[in-house]
Amino acid sequence: MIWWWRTRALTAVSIAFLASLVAGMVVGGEVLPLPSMAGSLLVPVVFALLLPLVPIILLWYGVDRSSGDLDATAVRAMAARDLSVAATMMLATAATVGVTSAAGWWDLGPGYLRNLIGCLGLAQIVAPLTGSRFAAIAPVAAVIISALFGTGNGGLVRWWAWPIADARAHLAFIEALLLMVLGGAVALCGVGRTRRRRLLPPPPPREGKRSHSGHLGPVSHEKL
Amino acid sequence: MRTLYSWRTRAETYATVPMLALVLLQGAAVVDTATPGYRTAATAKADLMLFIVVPLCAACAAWEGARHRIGRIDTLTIARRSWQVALIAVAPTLVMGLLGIAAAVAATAPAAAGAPGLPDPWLIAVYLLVLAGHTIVGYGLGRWLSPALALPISLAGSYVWLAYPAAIEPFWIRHLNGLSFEGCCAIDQSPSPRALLATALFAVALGAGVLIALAGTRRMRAGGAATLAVLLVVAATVALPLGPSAGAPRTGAVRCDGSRPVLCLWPEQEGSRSLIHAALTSAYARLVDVGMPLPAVVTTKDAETPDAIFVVLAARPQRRGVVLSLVASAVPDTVPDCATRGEWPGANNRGALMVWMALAAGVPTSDLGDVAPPEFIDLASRVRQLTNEQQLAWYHANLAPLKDCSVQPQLDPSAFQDGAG
Repeated sequence: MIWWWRTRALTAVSIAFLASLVAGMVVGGEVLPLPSMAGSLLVPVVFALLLPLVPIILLWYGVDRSSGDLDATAVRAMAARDLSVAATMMLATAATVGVTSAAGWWDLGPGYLRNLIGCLGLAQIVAPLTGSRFAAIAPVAAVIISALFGTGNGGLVRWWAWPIADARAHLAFIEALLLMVLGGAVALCGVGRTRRRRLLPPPPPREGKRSHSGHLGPVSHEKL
Repeated sequence: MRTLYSWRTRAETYATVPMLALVLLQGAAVVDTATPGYRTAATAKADLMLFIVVPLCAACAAWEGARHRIGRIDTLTIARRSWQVALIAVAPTLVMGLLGIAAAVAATAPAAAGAPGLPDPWLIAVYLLVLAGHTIVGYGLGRWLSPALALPISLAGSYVWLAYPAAIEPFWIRHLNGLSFEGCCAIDQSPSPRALLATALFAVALGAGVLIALAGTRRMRAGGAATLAVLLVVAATVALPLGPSAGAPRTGAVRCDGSRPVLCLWPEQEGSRSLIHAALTSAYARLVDVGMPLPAVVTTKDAETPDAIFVVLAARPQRRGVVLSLVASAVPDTVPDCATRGEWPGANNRGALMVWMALAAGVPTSDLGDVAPPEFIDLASRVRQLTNEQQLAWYHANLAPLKDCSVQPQLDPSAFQDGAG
C-alpha cells in the first residue's frame, strides 16, 4: 500500500485535487476567453470547468511513473487500486458539490463535477490506445477542441461540446456520465486482464519451434 | 536530410497539416472582422491564430524535450553546448510554427486586398518571438518534467497564458502575452511600439531564461532564473503605461490635396479620393448655404488643429458614410462634467442635431432609416422646413444644452417659426 501510494505520487495528486477543488470554489467564476471558429468573438469559459484537468494530469503522471513490468508482475490488483483513486475523487467531489450546491455556495460546482468525471472517463478510454503517458492529453484536447468548434453564432454550445457547456446543462452531464461509465468499463477490462495474467501460469513453450523473441530464446555467447 | 531521430517519430510530421487546416479555417472565420483595406490591421488580426500555432508548437517541443530526457542527454558528454542542442532539437518545430504564422498572415490578408504596402514586419517579428519563446519553454518542460506532465502542461499552459490576460486587469498584463494586437488597428492607428517591445521582451525572457538554465549546472540555472526575472520586470515596466488597446496613433503623413475642402487622406484611402472629395464638396456647399461654419481642411489623421476637422473614414467608404462621418465629427461629442453629477437635459440632443445636419448636408431621409430612430428623422424633417436662419437658430439653441446641464433643450421647431415666441 505504501509503495503503491508512493509510486503513484498520491500525496501530490491529493494536494492537487484539494487545491483545484478549493480554487474551483474561490476563483472558479473567473472567465477565460478562448478562441472559437465561430468568429472572432472569444468564448468565455470559466475556470471551474478547466480546473479538474489539474488533478487528472497529475493522476496519470502517477500511473505513468510506475506502470510497466513492476505493475504487470505485482501481486496486488494495481489497476483496481488506480481505479479506486479516480472513484474516490469523483465521490469526494460529488459529496462536496452536493453540500455546497444545496447550501447555495457554489453555483459552478455541478460544472466542475461534470468535467471531472467526463475528463477522467475520457482519459481512461484513450489510455489503452495511447498508453498512460499520453492519456491526460485527451481531456486537455477535448476542452480546446470544444472551445474551438463547439460554439455557434450567438454563443450557442453544440450538443457534443460538453466540457464548455453551461454548468447546469443536463445533456452535457449525461454525456460526461456516459464517458465515465465507458472509461470505467475499459478500466475494469484492464483489471480483469491483469488478474488473469497473475492467476494463470504462462503458456508452455511449444516443442520443436524456436521462440521468435530473442530475449527468451537460448542466448549465444558469441553474439555477446 | 539526415537527423538523429527519424522524421516518422517527430510530432511535427503529424501536427503540421491539422495545424494549417485549423489556422486557415480560423482565418476565414475572422477575416471579415479586421479593418478592411489596411494591411497592418489584417496582419494584426492574424494574431488570433497564435492561439492555435503556439500551443501546438510548445507541445511538439515538449515531445522533443521528453525524448532527450528519456535519452538521458544530461548524463552524456556532448560536444555541442546545451543551448545549441536545444535549438537544433526545436528547429523543425520552429519551422512548423513559421508555416503556421505564414498561413495566418495569408489567411487574413484578403481583408486588405488591393491595399498598398506590405504586412507589418514588426508585428510578424513579435509573433515569431512569441512562438520561439513558448517553443523553448515547451522543450525545457520536456527536459525537466516527466512526459506525462510536460505534454499536457505545455499545451494547456501555453493556451491559458495566451487567453487569460485578455480577461484581467490591470491592462498592462494584456500586452505581455502577444495576443493584444488582435483588436488593433483602425486606419489611423498602428500597433503601439511599447506593446510590441513589451511582448518581445517577455518572449525573449522566457526563451533566454530557459536556454540558459538548460545548461544544467547550478550556476547556469540561477543565471537562467535571474535573466528571466530581470527581463520580466523590464517587460512589465515597458507595458505599465499602456491601456487596454494595443493601438497607437499612426505615424507618417497623410497626403493633402484639393480645395473646398482640402482633403488629407492615408495612402489606403487614395483610391477613393475622388469619391470622398465629391461627397464632401457637395455636403460642404449645402451646409455653408444653411450657414454652418466648417473648417477648410478635412483630415483622417487625428491631430489637434483648430483649422481642420478630423473624420473617421474607412479605406473605401460609401458616399453616405463620408457625409455621416463628417456630420458625426462636426457636431461636438462631449459629455459635460455636470452630467456625471446630476441630470443632463441635453443628453439626447446630439442625435437630433446629427440627423438634422445629415439632412442639411443632402443625405435623403430614406438613407437614414437604419442609423437614426424615426422620431429624430421626423423631427429633423420638420426643422428642415424652416428658413435657413431659423434652422441655424434651432441648431445653436440645441447645441448649448450639450455642454451645459442648466440649459433646457428646445427641440420643437414650431418655437422657431415666424411669429412664434
